[in-house]
Amino acid sequence: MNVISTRQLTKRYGQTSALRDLNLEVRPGEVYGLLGPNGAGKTTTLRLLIDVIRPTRGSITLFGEPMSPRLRGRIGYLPGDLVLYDRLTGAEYLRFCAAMRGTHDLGEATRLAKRLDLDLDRRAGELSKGNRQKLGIVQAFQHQPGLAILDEPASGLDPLAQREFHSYLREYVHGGGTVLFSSHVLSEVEQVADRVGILLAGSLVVEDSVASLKANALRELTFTFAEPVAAATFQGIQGVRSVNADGTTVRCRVTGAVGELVRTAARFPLLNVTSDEPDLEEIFLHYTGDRGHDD
Amino acid sequence: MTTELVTKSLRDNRSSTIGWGLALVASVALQLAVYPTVRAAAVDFEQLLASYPEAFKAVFNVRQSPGSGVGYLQGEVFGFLAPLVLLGVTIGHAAKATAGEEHAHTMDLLLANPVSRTRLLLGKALGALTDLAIITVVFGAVLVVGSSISGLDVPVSDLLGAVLASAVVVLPFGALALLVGALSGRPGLAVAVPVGLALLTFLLNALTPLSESLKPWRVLSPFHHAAVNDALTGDPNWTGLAGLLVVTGLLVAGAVAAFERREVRS
Repeated sequence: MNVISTRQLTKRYGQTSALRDLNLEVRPGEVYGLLGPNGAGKTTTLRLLIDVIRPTRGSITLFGEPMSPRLRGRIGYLPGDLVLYDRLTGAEYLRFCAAMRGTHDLGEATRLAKRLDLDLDRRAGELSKGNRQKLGIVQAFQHQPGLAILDEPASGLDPLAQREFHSYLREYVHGGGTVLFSSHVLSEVEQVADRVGILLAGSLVVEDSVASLKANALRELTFTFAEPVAAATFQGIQGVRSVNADGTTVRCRVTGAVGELVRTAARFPLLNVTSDEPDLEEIFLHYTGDRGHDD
Repeated sequence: MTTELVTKSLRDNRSSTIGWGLALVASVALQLAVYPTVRAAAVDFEQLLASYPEAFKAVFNVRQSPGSGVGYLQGEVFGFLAPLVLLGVTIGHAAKATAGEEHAHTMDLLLANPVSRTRLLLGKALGALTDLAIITVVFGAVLVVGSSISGLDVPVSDLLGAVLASAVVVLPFGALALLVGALSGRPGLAVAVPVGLALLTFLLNALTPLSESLKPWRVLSPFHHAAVNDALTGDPNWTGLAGLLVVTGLLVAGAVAAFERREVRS
């Protein structure tokens, strides 16, 4: 049984489709990253799952059941637009959250706050964006939920806090937890996600591992030779989409395996080769209009 | 969980409750303190009031001589001051119940807790009701003590009956604020609609004695059914008050249904 399962999940606002026929499966013990540019439907998906908005069509089950107040006890949630009660200190806020969940146990909250270097004695209104985000993360995990639904969780965190948070996520998953999170930062997804789904304009266009996504994405390889090499040398090689030769420098845009391209280049006096990591935008483009040209 | 919601609501509204409460207590105490002076000059006041337009006297509930305790309280306390404060605190706090959280973008996290929407709304409503109860009790206490000191000569049971009727009459407006807030998620609208309706029905009830054409419509005014003036003379309209409680219950049920269906704005 999957922890999250959606069938034909659709959300429309008037004539605008925010989400179309989403079939999402998140397995127990995995970290699933939902990637996409702003407005792709990531937040809509997460808010539908947590039941603050209702689907136009389709169904959602969490732990095999439709959402209920009881089920929310097993879920931790961090909204993308995180707003806390400014007048409460971190400790007061976490006590309120615990009490809403029928407990007074702040053990996990205190441990995680310490780990993230968060001062719980300050009022939320006095905290920096990064520290407010830390408090949001702590409240999402303080009751040790079976499933964490996190909207842009690393947003505003400094690199040190990000690293600590990612390491906490890994421990959480090893301990049996499951995570669904959204992001528009590829490096974050790369570090923590087991699987990735890319949402574009309300549709899930691809679902894969990060490594596989990157391998299939359009990248640019730049070769520097000791003498000029003709562009035609590289045209027609498998995966090569375009070649641009400028004297001793040749730039090739390529998808998939680069073995044949590198072997061909190695036949010439090659001085250097660099590969640009594909950024998310290029991966997005690969799965949108450009896909037609590239494939 | 409900206790937490009520406590949170009380804490959120603490300064507002204290502000409204102090305003009422200070005004009532002041009015009662000057009563002996008014009584001593009752004849002059009656002559002065006789020259006032009927509409003015109707709106400000000037019915009996200000020299009598009942007449004084009707005009100076129950006519305008008490409804204003009790409506203010109840509508203000009920409007914030769910719409305030939604407007502040804190509703997503609140709804992520293992608590049903019905329970959440009722917990918040109970918070607003507790604020009204606190102010009503303080109002009643100040009135009873102050009346005794100033020699108003109105039985305590009549005073408390009028205080109770004054509190009950604001309940439908508070429930309407809850309903509008649950439907719209907009605290401003949730204040404006019941305030507008309260003003309209207050004037309708107050001005009916001056106009035959208004009489058939008076039944629509909660103030008519609360009959605070009658309660102050020892004849409370229990049926009317019960009717107001029923209307309140129906409006709260509507608010629950609306909030259960509400699409929370992000």
